[in-house]
Formats: sequence, structure tokens, C-alpha cells
Amino acid sequence: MRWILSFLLLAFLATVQAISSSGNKLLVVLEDLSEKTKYSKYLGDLEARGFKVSYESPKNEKLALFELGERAYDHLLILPPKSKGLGPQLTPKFLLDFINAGGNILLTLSSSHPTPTGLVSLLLELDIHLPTDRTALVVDHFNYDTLSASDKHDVVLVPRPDAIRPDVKNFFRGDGKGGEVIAFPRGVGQTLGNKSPLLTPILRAPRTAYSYNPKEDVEGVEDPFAVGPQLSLITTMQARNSARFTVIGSSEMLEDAWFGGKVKRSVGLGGVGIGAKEVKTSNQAFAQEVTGWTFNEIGVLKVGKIEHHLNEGGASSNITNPKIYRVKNDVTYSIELSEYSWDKWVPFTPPTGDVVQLEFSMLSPFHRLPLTPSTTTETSTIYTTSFKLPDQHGIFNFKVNYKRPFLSNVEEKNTVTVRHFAHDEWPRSWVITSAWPWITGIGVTVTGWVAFVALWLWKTASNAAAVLLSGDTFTSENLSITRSLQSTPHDTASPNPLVSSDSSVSMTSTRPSKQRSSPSSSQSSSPKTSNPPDRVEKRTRNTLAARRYRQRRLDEVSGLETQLKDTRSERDDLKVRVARLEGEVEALRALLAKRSE
Amino acid sequence: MSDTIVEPFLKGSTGRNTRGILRLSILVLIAAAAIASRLFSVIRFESIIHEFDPWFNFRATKYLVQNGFYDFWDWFDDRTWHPLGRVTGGTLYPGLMVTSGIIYHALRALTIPVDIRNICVLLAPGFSGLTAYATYLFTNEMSTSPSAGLLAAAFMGIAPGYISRSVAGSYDNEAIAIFLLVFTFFLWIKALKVGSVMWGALCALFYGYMVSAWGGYVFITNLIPLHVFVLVCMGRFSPRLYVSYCTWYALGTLASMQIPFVGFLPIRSSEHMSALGVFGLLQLVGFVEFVRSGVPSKQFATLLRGFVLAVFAIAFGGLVLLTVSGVIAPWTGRFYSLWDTGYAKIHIPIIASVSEHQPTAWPAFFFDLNLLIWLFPAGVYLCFLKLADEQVFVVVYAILASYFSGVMVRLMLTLTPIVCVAAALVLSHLLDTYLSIKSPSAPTDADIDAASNAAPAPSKKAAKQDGLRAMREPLVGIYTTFSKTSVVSALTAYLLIFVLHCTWVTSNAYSSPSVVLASRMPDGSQHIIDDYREAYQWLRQNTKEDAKIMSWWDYGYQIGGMADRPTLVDNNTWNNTHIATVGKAMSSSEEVSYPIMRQHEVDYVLVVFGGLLGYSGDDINKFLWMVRIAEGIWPDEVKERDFFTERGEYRVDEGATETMKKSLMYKMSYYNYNALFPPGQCQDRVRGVKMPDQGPVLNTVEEAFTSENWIIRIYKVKDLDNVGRDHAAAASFERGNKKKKTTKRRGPKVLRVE
Amino acid sequence: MHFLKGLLLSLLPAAAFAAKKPAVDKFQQFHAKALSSAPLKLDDAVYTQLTSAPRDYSVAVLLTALESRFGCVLCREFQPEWDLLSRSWTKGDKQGDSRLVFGTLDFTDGKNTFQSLGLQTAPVLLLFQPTIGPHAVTETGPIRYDFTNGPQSAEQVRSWIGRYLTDRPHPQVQRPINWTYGIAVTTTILGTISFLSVAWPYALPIIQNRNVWAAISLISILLFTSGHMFNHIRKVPYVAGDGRGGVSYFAGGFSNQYGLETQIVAAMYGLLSFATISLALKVPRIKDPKTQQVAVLIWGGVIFVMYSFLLSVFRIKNGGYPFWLPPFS
Repeated sequence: MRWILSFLLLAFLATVQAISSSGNKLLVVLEDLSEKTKYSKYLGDLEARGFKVSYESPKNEKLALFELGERAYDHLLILPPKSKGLGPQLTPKFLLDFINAGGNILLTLSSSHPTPTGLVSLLLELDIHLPTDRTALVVDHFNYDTLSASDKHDVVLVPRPDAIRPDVKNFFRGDGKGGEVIAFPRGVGQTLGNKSPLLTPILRAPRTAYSYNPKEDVEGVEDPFAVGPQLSLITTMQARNSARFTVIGSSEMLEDAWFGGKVKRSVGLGGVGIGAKEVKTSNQAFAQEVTGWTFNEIGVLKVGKIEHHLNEGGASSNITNPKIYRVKNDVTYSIELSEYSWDKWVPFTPPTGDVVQLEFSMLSPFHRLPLTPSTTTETSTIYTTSFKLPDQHGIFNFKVNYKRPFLSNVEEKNTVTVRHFAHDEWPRSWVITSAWPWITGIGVTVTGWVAFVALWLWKTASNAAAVLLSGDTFTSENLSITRSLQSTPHDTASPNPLVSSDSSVSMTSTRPSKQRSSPSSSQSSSPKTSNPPDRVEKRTRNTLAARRYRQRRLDEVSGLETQLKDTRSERDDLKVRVARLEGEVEALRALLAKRSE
Repeated sequence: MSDTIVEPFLKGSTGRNTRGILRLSILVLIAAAAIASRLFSVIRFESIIHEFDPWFNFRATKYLVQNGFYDFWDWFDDRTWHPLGRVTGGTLYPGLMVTSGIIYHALRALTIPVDIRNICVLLAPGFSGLTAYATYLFTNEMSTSPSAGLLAAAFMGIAPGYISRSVAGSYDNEAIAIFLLVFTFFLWIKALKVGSVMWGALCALFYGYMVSAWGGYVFITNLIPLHVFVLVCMGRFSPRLYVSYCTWYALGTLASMQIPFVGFLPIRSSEHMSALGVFGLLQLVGFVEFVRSGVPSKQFATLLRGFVLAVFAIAFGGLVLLTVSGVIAPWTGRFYSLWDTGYAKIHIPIIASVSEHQPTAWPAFFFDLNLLIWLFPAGVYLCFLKLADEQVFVVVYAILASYFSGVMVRLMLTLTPIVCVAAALVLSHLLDTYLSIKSPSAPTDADIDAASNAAPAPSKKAAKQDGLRAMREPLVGIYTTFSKTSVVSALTAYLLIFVLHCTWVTSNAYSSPSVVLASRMPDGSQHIIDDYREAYQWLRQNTKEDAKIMSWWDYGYQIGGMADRPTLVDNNTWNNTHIATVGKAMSSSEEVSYPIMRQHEVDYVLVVFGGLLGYSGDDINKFLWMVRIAEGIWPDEVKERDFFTERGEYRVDEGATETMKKSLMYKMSYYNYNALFPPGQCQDRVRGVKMPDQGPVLNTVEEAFTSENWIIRIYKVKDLDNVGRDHAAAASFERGNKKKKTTKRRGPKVLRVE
Repeated sequence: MHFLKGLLLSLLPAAAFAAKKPAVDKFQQFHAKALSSAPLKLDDAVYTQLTSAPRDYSVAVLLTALESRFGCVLCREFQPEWDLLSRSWTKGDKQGDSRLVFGTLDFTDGKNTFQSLGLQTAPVLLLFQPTIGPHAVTETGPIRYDFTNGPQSAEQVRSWIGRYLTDRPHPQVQRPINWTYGIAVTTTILGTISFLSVAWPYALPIIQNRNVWAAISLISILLFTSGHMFNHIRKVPYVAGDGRGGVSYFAGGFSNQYGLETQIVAAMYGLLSFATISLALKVPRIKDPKTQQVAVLIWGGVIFVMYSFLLSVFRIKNGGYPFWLPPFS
């Protein structure tokens, strides 16, 4: 009756009280419900913290971790069963699937009843090793409770644990003043393998503790399973999906007896703790911390909004999270982080000596920058950084990869494309001083060419008459060239043998008739083509024209001289004829005179 | 002026006389035939883009049409070569895409709504018609007989050597490049004949277009200078030559440098140095000729010639020096492998691995240009009769192209035009001779002996001047009609066979879009094997938008085009190391390749496996190339030797080497394969061997999809184990066998260290 | 007590020195020997001494069988490269900074070593990494370089060794200048030049002869189009016997061929084109009608038969080829 009352009361409380950050459906597996009384305080705390606890026996057929492929519970608490098996529903496979689906498991062991093989193989999968002999327990002859275990020395008293590394948040040290003591009665110690980086021990055994099997005799002590801090009493494994799995070596430490119980520590090594007085165990607080951590009540990180935007020259663009940047852009990145503690989200601040980092990576990080907290809201901190993108185009990732023990994993990847310079993003040529010589060079060339053309046209206009000479001279000129090069195998067309170029004049006078008959190459380009003769041809024609002009004047002079000579000789022999005729006349006159007498 | 521009294009093809109209209609018919004979694949299958590269061109064209020219110009493609990305706008030849983009927009402007895919599919046939016309013009420059041009156009239209790269759907650079090649050559010959700046500039313009369209422009860049050089050596230097070449070189080089992918190559790389050298040589020769024409003196001329030779030698030496010192980039491997044929196999396995870079066996020649191949030499010989500049060009082109096509199969493409032209020359000559109706009157004895005693004088003369033996006797003609008819009918028969051959080859060999495979059912009906598209569709529908697909580079373009998913490597093999990385991941064991795949964010791995269907082009047959390419970068980690058995065999059955069996590719290909068969009968139909009954075991990847005929298998890369086990342990736990508990601890205890 | 400790401490370095001493000496003496003649010629004893365990230097030993009776071609091909490499390397660092000793162990001198290593094949190149000292590596076994693909050049082997000898100098391979080659080249060049200068007037008509050029170009075209480059690149056999002791002239399959086959094809092409040329050019120039008639028939027949034969040959290469001409079907 009182149970129901208290249950209702707690349920009512639960509504006002906070709950875990990931659901509050908790399944407690214990073999017979009568055992609940042993853990009443512990379970009471849980329900007071707002967990909807449902109790199932592993024997129960209807017990199922999944229904319709979805997790039926958010958290799972396994109290050690007496029987060897855990039934068909709690096979390692299912438990592992439960973890992979994001469920948290708190597993308690006990040396009084041997651990079921299923659990053992599950722990093996996680690289947690239990003593080979099932009933081994942890004893310590220096730190034991003199009240309860004065002769067995199997109730180990352990101080609150320190952080495993200075730069790791420690959730398990209570008020932190120290002096609190945890009673670890008849627990099973575990050893952790080295391979898995996900394992972290919360509570380690004292230096002088070791694992020991009471059933066997001394030879067990010869080669103990593990000794000292190697022996982990409470182990946690946080999977990559931040699902949490905790092994508590001794279920007994959760029982009511030890929550309020008084203990008195023995005389330790080097005489510490002589005359220690009875103290109250801090099991309850410690168990709450451990359970709270396991069931996502503390140490849970949440990523708020992630923003990155262009930040050229201080002027930040208003386009957030663009898909593409350009090389050497200035970019600002910001990420919002908050941490869950028991019942609310609070701003997250990394422990001293630790820092949240941003990677800008393609295949390998090009930048790895610390993120500095810029603003803080009441629930979150916004970390930000600004940097210049590398001079390498490609597909890059803004990556925040913050994985620390006891904090849930933060792995955020934002892919952006970094493109090359576009064709119009380069500086113009006249901006680059070293390009000026070339620019001037271009200018000079252009002007020079224009001037040259102008000059040329004027010159050609001057002796256009010469240009009018028809194309056959020009072809003949070509032929003279081909001849004089004398390296053509085929062009043996023209009948007349080797003509040296200085005789080209005579050629021009003799050639054209044969020209047309010869099937030589240059004929194909016969001057019938109507397009204007270009510069080089004009040149050759001019030279020819000038040459022929000189030649013609020479010819004229010589012609005149010959004419003069002819007329002279003509006159001379005319004179001779005149003289002869006069002689004749004289003779005839003389004959006439004789006759008349 | 304008009519001088237009006139040569239309010469003979239009006109008032019926002959011209006939020519025009013939040309149109030829173009129609050329287009029609390339539509087999569209009719058989559907209007689909063909094998590999076209898919990239298609994708690029779509990008151009959607985002406009400037975005295309600056395109940074973040969906290929993950995570490097590719500066696509700067590393492709934009001519093809821009052409079809222009056509697309033009049609839209004409309010003809047409799908860009159909333009891409039908671009090649359309341009083949233009190619036929360009060939017609080119041949008209060569010979006086008009029938030659028409024959050449017809040959060019249906020659399989050109159809092989221009069937509907093979949307590749060659589709327009061959037209540009022929047309540029036509313009070059025109410019050379006329010696005008205008034609030279036109030639340069189309050369620039060619550069923007195809990497094979280097062929022009080297052929024209070679032609000029030969002409100069023959003493054919003339102002026309000077003008046309200088115009072409100056403008053409500037034009080619506008393409980002070419950039400064024309002045930095050895492929282009010949053009530059000939340019310099022409300046020298031109200078000398000028001086000689001015100063008539024999000694001075010889002096000048010596000077020219000296300068030429010095320039050449300087060029060699620059090349050695590395200022001028040495020849790119693809080009270099043309000269030193053994080079690629040793140094650049990527180039050697491509099938179209293999040498050509003679059946390929006969297959691609049936009777043209033996008309070809005759035509070249015919060019020696009347050896003008353009005939010299034909000869040079013929020799160079036949060498190249002998070295590389794909260069058959550059050979085909000249073969068509030469064959058309000789064939038209034959027809002109044997189709003339009027027979010469049978000679009487008188003029016979007249000829006999007249003969010696001219024949001796001819022997002295006109080189060719065949031309000594004067032309008489054919006497009897019988011989005319017999020869003509025989030729007609050959031509008919040629047409049949072309059609047969096109429909059987060149019209299958290797994306869709067609096979014959036992009853003879056609069965379409569509695994590729099935698998790509699966990817498109069942994977994240940015799921990275790792496959061998052959399938990169198709995955990008059809599945629209990012790929690690693709057919544009610009980064050998990245390809070698994929090769290493494929050819090494899971433990090695998993980190590589994680680092490259691979989500899915795609392999092609033909074992079930007997599809020989699968990845196991390409596997050795992956190994070789990977070995080129990591000689210590990947060794080709390890994939061969002791007796040097490449085996995949139980005799395969351990490295082979461990390799990711092998595992992915044969995973679960034995489950298809009753025990003891599992066999691979490509390699034709019996597979072991115990199939390989995969830990780091899981099978995601296998197509209907098992040609394509897609695997998903597993994430890291949630509770920090290695994949082998996790997989064995999944299979249900418990981890052994280490009862007996030997050696010292391993202690936990924080 | 304290005194003892002090004594111990004082002894320790001495002991260490003593331990190190012989190794250093070993390297120095071998290196000195190598400087005079590299690579060292080893036998079993020297080999074991050289590669015995505590060593602070690397050893590269080539196990080879040079004698002709072993018939190891690879050994003899690789030997000069190996000598060259070791010589230039040893010259490269006289101080022995790379702490690498080259040795050659011939089978005749080192049978036991071969047996102990269980070597069946030669040559084998073993690289022993140092076990103590700055460059010491954990795995003590020698690294083996196997000559899978043919004889390696000195540079290749050097790069292979260099990969294992990180943070140590890798001297370049200096190839001796090949005087005879250079001399030969120069003499030939000069000879040709002088010959040309003498024979130019006679050679000129030949060079300028159109027929010569036509012949050259036609022959080269025929060569290339009949797949000669394929033979050159793929090194195909000239002929191959078919199973029944006969000779098969045509290789089966579309993309492989024999040397003889290509020549036959080239001959066919040549004949066909020659017939075409004569039909086109020679026949119309024959004055006598009868001879012309005969010539037309002859050449036309030649073309017909040859072409049909070509088609039939192609049907051999390519099974499903449907077209043919009589008489060869």
C-alpha cells in the first residue's frame, strides 16, 4: 500500500522534477521483484528524478527491448540475476543493438552470483575482461571496512575518484573536499583492454587491492587476475553514437544498507588512517552521479546552430552557410554548444587546459584553429573563429570533432566547395605595374603598323603606273626565283636552261609566250584572279618597272646614234656620186666641142 | 569583293545551267544519305547518348544551357574528382558544347522548343552532312573534273572510318572536329592558291574554332607547317605562300591562345614548335628573296643562302636548348607516344590502358574504308602528275595521316578524309576516261609510223622534263565501247559493294550505345540488357544527393551523367595520383583500402562484373591496369607480380594468388556469387573457369545492390563500429560466433595505459 | 656500495664503446676496401662476416651466377649496371655517410650461402638494414629485390635502395661518357657530309626525280595502311604454324596478324592500285586498239580477281562478313 502511495507521489514529483536529456523510459531487470526492497532508496532516487521505471524479470517472455524495430526503453538497468542465463530477450546481440540504437545500459555485477555467460561475452565484445573464475572478488588488506569485513577484507573503501586526466571534466567527486569514502563491498573487478579508445574507468581499485577467489586457496594469490589500479571497479564505455554503458562491479553498493551505512577504514599502507573514525558512506551521492551520467543526465553536449559566412574585408555578407567559397576568402565560422546538467541546458565551457577546435580539411586538415567563445546565452555558448581559406580549390569540410571522456561526442561536418578564381576576378593588366612594358609595347606596335601602312599606301599611289604592269612579269619573277634556287625536282617546265636573275630583263622580253604553255606550278596562280595584288607583289613589280624604264632610255640613245651614223655615210656616198656625174658632164662637153669644129 | 567571298563556295554548286542544279541536288542527297545512315542506333534503341565521354559533354552542355556562358567558362565542378574537384571550364574544349548551345538557343528563338538532349544526339549526323560538303570543296581545289568533288563527298558521307565516331548519340568532340579539320584544310589551300590575306584569316578563324573543339588540332598545327616546309625545300617559295602562312600563323596562334585549356601552349610546348620554326624560316627566305630581287649578284645570293642556313641552324639549336632546359615544355605523353611507340606502355599506363590508343591492324583499315584503301595509293600517285602546291599538300597529308592512323586506332579519323579525296580523284579520272562517248578514230598506218618517227623526239623530251613514266605517250582515249562498258560496270559493282559494306558496318559495328547491350535470344529475337541504366537509376533514387561513388575511372562520366552522383575519378584522367589511389584501394586488402575509402569519404563502391553473363569488358579484366597504375605510385605496396601465380598466369579460381583473393576488387566481384549455383558448379563465364565453392568474405563493405544480370554490383561502405571493435570482429560477432575468452594468458600481462 | 655504483657507471660507457667498436671497424674496413674496388667480391666467409648480426650499417648484396654454364642471361645483363651503381655510389660518398656496403656474391664462391638462403633463382639482390646504431630498424631480415620484369637499370635499383635508406645521402649514378659512340656518330656525320658534297651533282637528279618520290611515298603509304606499325609495336611473329605442321598465313581474329600476312596484304593493295593506275593512265595512251583492248581486259581482270581475293581473306579474319565476289567465295 505504501508502495503505491509513494509511487504515486514520486510520479507526481517526476512531472515537476527534471528527466534525462534522452527520454525517461527506464527498464530495470531483476529476477524477482521482492529484491526491489533491497534497492528501494536507489530506485526511489531514480523515480524521484522522473524516470518512468518498469520492472521486468529476465524470465518474462513478454520482455522485449525493441518493439516494431524501435527502442521500447531509453535506459536499461540490469541487476545481477541468480540464474546463469538472462533469458532469450537479453542476449548480447540484443543488448548491443540496444546500444547501437542509442540506449544506455547500466550493468551491475556481483560476486555472490556468477555473471551470466551472455553478459561475459558482451563485455568481451567491448574489450572489458572479467576474472576467469566466476566468483572472484576484490579484496584489499589495507583499505577495508573494519566494521563489516574485519576478517574477509572484501569491503573495499575507496575515496572519491580524481579525473583520469587533468584536462577532463570530473563528474564524480561530489563536493570535491575529499574525505568522502565509497564502500565497494564484494565487488567484481574488471580489466580493460588497450584497443578500444571508448573505455574509461570511473573508479579504480586502490594500489593494494587485488582480485581473489575465496573458493580456491593460496595459489589464486600467486597469480592474481589483476592488481591495483589495473583493476577497474566501475567502468564506462561511451559508444560513437554517445550511447552510454556502465559496469558497476558491485551491485551491493547500491543497496540501502550501504547508502546510509557507516564504515570505519582499516589501517592503510604507511600507517595512514590510524585511528580513523566511523564515517557515513557517500555511496548514495556517488551512485546518483554514476547513474545520472549513464542515463544522460549530465555530461551531454548539444550542438545548436552552426553558421559560416563570407567575411571579406571585415564586411560580413548576410548570406549564411553558402555552398561555395573562393580560394583566399575570409570566412567566419561559429558553432553553438550547450551542456545538460541534471535538469537544464547550460552554456558549455571546456575544462581548463582543453579547447574546442575547428578543422578545415580536405583529405587532411589545412587549418586547425581553436574556437573562442564569443557570446553566451543562458543555455549555450557560441564559439567562433575567422580565418582565410587556403589557396587550394576543392571540396572542403568545416569539421568540429570534439570527443572527450565523460562528454557525449560532438562530430559536426559542414561541406563547402572552394572554387578557383573566375576569369574576371584577376586584377586587370594595367593595375599590374610589371605589365606596363608589354602594354606600351603593344601600343608601339599598333601605331607603328598603322604608320607603316599609311606610308606604304602613299608610296604605291605615287607609282601606280608601274603597278599597272600586268601579272606575267610577276610570274616570270617567281620563275626566276625558282630557277635560281635550283632545288625543285619537278618544275622543269620551261625549256630554256638556267637563267640567272640579272638576265631577268631579257627573260621578261622572251618569256611570256612559253610561259603560258608551261604546266608549271606558278601557272595555277595565274593572274586571272581578280583580288588585289598584295604588298610583296607590288614591291617586285615596282623594282621591275623602274628597271625597264631605265633600260628603255638607254635603248633610245643608242638608236639615235645609229641613225646619225647612217645619215652621215649616206651623205658621203652622195657626194661621191655628185663628183662622178660632174666628171661625166665635163667629158661630154668636150666631145660636143670636137664635133662642132 | 563580296562575290569573291561567296563565289568559291558556290562554284559549280549553283548556277543557271542544269548542271549546277544537278550538282546541288546531288550534294543535298549526299548529305541526306550521310545523316540517314547514322540513325541506326536511334531507330534500334532510342535517342540516347552513347558510351563514356559523350556523357560528360552532355552534362557540360546542360550546364552551359542552364547557367549561361560565363558560368560555364568559370565552371568549378565539385561533383567529380572528389574531393579535389575539377576546374572544368578551364580544362575542356568548349567548342562542342558552345556549338550545340548556340543551336539550342537559335531554335528557341525560332520558337521551336526542342530538348537539348536531342540536339546533342543529332549533332554528329548533322555535321557529317557539312563534312561531306567541305570535302566536296576541298576536292574541287584538287582537281579540275567536277565529278571528283561529288565522289569525295559521297565517300566522306558514308565511309565507316568517319561514321565510327559520328553516329547519332556519340556526342563527342570529333563530331564537329572532322568537319572543321576538312574545312580548315580547304581554306588553307584556297589561301595558298590565291595568296590573299582574307582567305588566310578565314583559315585562321576556322583553325581557332577547331582548337576550341578538339585536342586533335595539333594535327593541323603540324601538317600545315610541314606542307610549307616541303614547298620551300622544293623551291616553291612564293609571295602567296608567305602571305597565307604568315596570316594563318599569326591569327591562328592568337585565336588558339584564347582557349583556357590551350593557353600558352602554342609558344611553350614542343608540339607547336614546328609551326613557330617554319614561321621564322619563312621570314628568312622571304628576306633573302627580297634582297636577291633587288641586288642581282650570284655570289651575294650564295652568301645569303649560307646566312639563311646558319640562322636556321642557330635557331634550331636554340629551340633544342630551350626544350632541354625546360623553358619549352617537352612533348605531352599522349603526343610523344605517337613517335616513340613503346613509350606509353612503360611510362604512362593510363594512356596505354585506353583501347583506342592501341595500334591498328590491317583488318581495321579494310573494315573502315573498304575499297578506298586500295584506291588511296593510286590517287596519291595521280597527284604526282600535276604537282602543284595543293597536290603536294595531299601527298604530305596522306603520308603523315597513314603513319598516325597506323600507330593509333582513333587517328583513323584523320586519315579518312584524305583517303576519300584521293580515291575520288583516281575514280573520277577513271570514269572521265571511260565514260566519254566519242571514241578516237582507229589510227591509219600513216599516222602510226608518223607517230613512230615523231614519237622519239617528244618522248625523250618528256623523259627529260615531265617526270612520270605514265605520261610519256600522248593521250589517245579508249577505242572500243566494250572496254568502256566492262570497266565502268565493274567499277559500278565495286561501288555498290562499297555502299553495302558501309551500311552493314554501320549497322552492325558502330551503332550500339555501349550503355545498353543488345543480345540475341535463342529464337533470334533481340534481348536488351539494360543493367547499367538500372544500376545508375538505383543510385539516383536510393542514395543521398552527395553520396560519393568510388568506381574505376571508365564509369566516372556515366555515373556523373546518369546517376548524378559525385565520383572520385572519371574518364578525364588529369590526375594520375588520384586514379592510382582508387587503383590501390581496389587492388589491396580490406584493411588497407578501408582507411583510404574513409579518407575520401566514399559512401558506395561500384564494380562491373561480367562473370554471370559472359560480359568480357568487366573490372576483373581491367584489374591489371588498376594494379599497374597503382604500382606506378606505390611500388612497395602494390606489386603486379603478386597477382600472377608462380607459373605467371592470371587466375581467379582457387588457383589465384593470396593477394588476388584478398584484394577488394576480387572480393566485391565474387561476393555471394557461388550462392547462385548448386555447389560445385559455380563458374565464371568470362574467364571460363570454375570458381571455388567458398566465396570471399566482406567485412568493411556490405552489398547494397546488384543489377539484374549481375553486371553492376554496388557496395555500401560501413561506418566505423559503434562500440569500437574492428570490422572483422564486429562481422564475426554478427555471424554469431563468440569471441574466444583468453583463458591462458601467455607472456607478460598487457597493462592498460591511459 | 656507492663506490661500487660509481665504478659501474664509469665502466658502462667503456663497455658500450667496446661493444660498438668492432662494428665501426667492420664498416670502415669494408668501406675502405670498397673505395678501392666496388662492389666487394664476396665468398661465404666474408658474406657471413659482413652480414653478421650486430651491424650499424646497411649491406646490399647481389647474389648472382655469372658463369656461362649456369646460363643466367639476366645475371650477365644486370652485372655492368650493378658495378656501375656500386662504383658511383661508393665514389659518391667517400666518407661513407650513407653507411652502405655493396657486395657481389657469385654462386661459385658462395654455394653454401645460396643453399642456406634456399635460393633457386639468380640474380637476387638483398638489402640488409642495420640492427644497431642511428638507422637501426626492427625487422632484421634482409629486404629482397626480385627482378620480375627484366633487367633493371642502375637508376631504378638506386631509387629502390634509396627508398629504404631514408635520411641518408643517395649519390647519383654517374654513367661514364660513351666515347666510342660519340666518335662513331661524329665520323658518320662528317662522312655523310663529305660524301654529299662530292656526290651532290650526281645525287641531285635522283633527289629531284619525281618517280623516286612517288615510289617512296607510295611504298610508305602501303606499309602503314597494311598494319606495319602494329607489327612494329606488338612484335608479332612473322608466320605461325597451324596445328597440322603447315604454315598458317593469316592469323585468326580481327585484331591480330602476322608479319607475312601484312606483306601479302600490302602486295595485294599495291597490285590493285597499280592496276587502277594503269587503267587510268597507261591504257588511254596505247595507240593500237587491239593491244589496248587486251590491256583493258587484263587490268580489269586483275582488279576483279584481286579484290575478290581480298574480300575472301577478310572473310577469314572477320567471320560474319557477308560480302564476296566470285571466284573466291
